[in-house]
Amino acid sequence: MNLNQIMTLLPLIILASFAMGILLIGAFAKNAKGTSTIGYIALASMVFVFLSLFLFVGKGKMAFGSMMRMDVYSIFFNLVFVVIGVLTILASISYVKITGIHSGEYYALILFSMIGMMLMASSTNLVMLFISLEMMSIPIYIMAGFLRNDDRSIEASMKYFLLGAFASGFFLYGLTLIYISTGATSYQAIANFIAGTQRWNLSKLIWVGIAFITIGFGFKVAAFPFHAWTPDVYEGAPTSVTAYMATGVKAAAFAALVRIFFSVFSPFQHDWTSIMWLIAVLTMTVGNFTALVQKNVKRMLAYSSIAHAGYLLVAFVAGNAMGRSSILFYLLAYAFMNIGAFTILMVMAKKNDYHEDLDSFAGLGFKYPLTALAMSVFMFSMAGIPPTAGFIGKFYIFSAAVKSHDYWLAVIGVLNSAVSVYYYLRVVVYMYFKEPEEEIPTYRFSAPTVFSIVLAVWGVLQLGILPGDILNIARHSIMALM
Amino acid sequence: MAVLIAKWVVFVLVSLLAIASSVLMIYVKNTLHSALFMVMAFIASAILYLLLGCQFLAMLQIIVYAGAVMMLIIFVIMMISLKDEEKLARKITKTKVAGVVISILFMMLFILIMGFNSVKGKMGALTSIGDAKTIGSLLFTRFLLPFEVASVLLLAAMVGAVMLSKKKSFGGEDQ
Repeated sequence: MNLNQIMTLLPLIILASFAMGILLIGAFAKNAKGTSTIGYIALASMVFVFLSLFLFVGKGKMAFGSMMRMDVYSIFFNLVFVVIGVLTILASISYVKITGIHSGEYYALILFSMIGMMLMASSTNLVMLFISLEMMSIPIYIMAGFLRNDDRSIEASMKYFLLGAFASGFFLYGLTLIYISTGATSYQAIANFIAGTQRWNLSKLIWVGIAFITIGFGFKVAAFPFHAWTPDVYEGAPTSVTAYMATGVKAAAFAALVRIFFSVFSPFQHDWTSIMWLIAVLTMTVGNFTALVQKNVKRMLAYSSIAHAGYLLVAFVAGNAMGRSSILFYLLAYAFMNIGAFTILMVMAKKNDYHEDLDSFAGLGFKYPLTALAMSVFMFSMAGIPPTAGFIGKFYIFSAAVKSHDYWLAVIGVLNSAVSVYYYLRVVVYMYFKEPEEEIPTYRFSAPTVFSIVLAVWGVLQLGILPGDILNIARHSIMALM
Repeated sequence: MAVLIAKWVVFVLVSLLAIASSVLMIYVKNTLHSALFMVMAFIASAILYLLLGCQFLAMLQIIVYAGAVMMLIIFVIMMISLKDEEKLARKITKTKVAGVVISILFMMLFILIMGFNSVKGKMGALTSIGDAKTIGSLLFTRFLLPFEVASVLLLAAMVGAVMLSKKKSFGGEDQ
């Protein structure tokens, strides 16, 4: 192991050392003040990781054996995770105080699971892929159950853990079948084996393996037949954790999915596209139509998260360069708008009364005009209305589908998007056109929360009005993958 | 030749034992019995490792899984009362039917796929990692990164277990 290889791991080493440091400090800082100090330390680790990423820019591909690779693609996703981390930690600092999670371990677990996310985006080996998937998931299973006085939170943790373990089993079995039929675990070796063998001589178990891996990923991104856990888990988990897992886990799973499917399984693209097509359409439709009838905004956002996984799968099915780069762009845009919306919910949360139902939003526009404005921006972005990031993202996704001559997919996607406008704008209508039934409670805005909301609004508008730079970077990242 | 046939016979018998005890583990009503069937499945797979010439893996399988992990599971079963859950488990018949149907469908699919062409076994590559020395050196060379990440993973899982099972709810002011 030489210095270059250690350098490749630098962002991960920073995260791991900060996480362990936080565990040590957390033992001595048990009160509310100590916990928020730890929050700022976790924020500092994000800054260091962000700075360390600049060391890789322009260096080309740096690999750690056959296990992982820091290329432009990994750097892009690491950047997305840093954005997610910064927004989540900023929003958490006061939310943790309100809900009484006075423990530094909360931040340590966020950092631990981020190690897994970063590794998922950059791993180039089946062994590494599985361990990083677990590294990402296990801290999140725990964090979902952090509100121990709330039965819903315990239920969320348990449900996510049991079903997640089940899905991991499928995933691992799929990886094993790939190994059995190719005799290799590194992506490069598997791709070489597939390229060097006649299609008829390949073991059929590869296809079974791909199907199982799809199930594993489908669970993590909440795609249609594997989405049943999503609403309960997202509703029950602490809102900050929901924001983190809705964006982070989705981004990491898509990062690994795109990398393995387009660099290793690309010879079978024709085979898996037809199944993914159906999954994409059903995921969008089920997510959007179920979200229509939700009265609880947090639960509605959970169903909307399923629908967004569907849009991302549309880009995945399109499969051309444009589709792949639009996945990257959309994940970044989704991080800003989704965490932003959840942060507004976190502001409205009181102890033992979370104010998550639609009625709590009634008349918010008059008492808190700026908060309502920010929420409207996030809702408009999720609905895909210009000039927001969501519009540009959806525009590129659907044009990628059109470009690959999959007109039906694009039509179904646009129709779904139109349906979704109803439930996103309903929140806006409640905020501005409905009299509150009871007195709106006083919400306290702490500086980090405000900063997080401002950052999210800026991100949504920046990506919506001037998307050029990020789109270029996304395009370059995709080129590095090949 | 005789050795090969003997190996094959042992393989078939042990595999059948492993499958049977796994199935029984799921379907047996008493949780303690099901834990014991799990031990049997672990031991059967340890014998399978031995047949492949992986003595070290076989020992680990018995020490870690059949020993340590099983002890924990049996402790947990004895400490918590599962009477209500057992009643609940008897009611779920629809899921059982669905499970059987899906298993049969899956088996058919598997046989169909395997029927097309046989799997090229990778026995040659596998047998060389059976002993402690090779596993140790592989862990510190080729698989160094997964090995290190697994250690961080275990730390995170341990922290989580402590967090979730701590008696006092954190936060001074509540209750």
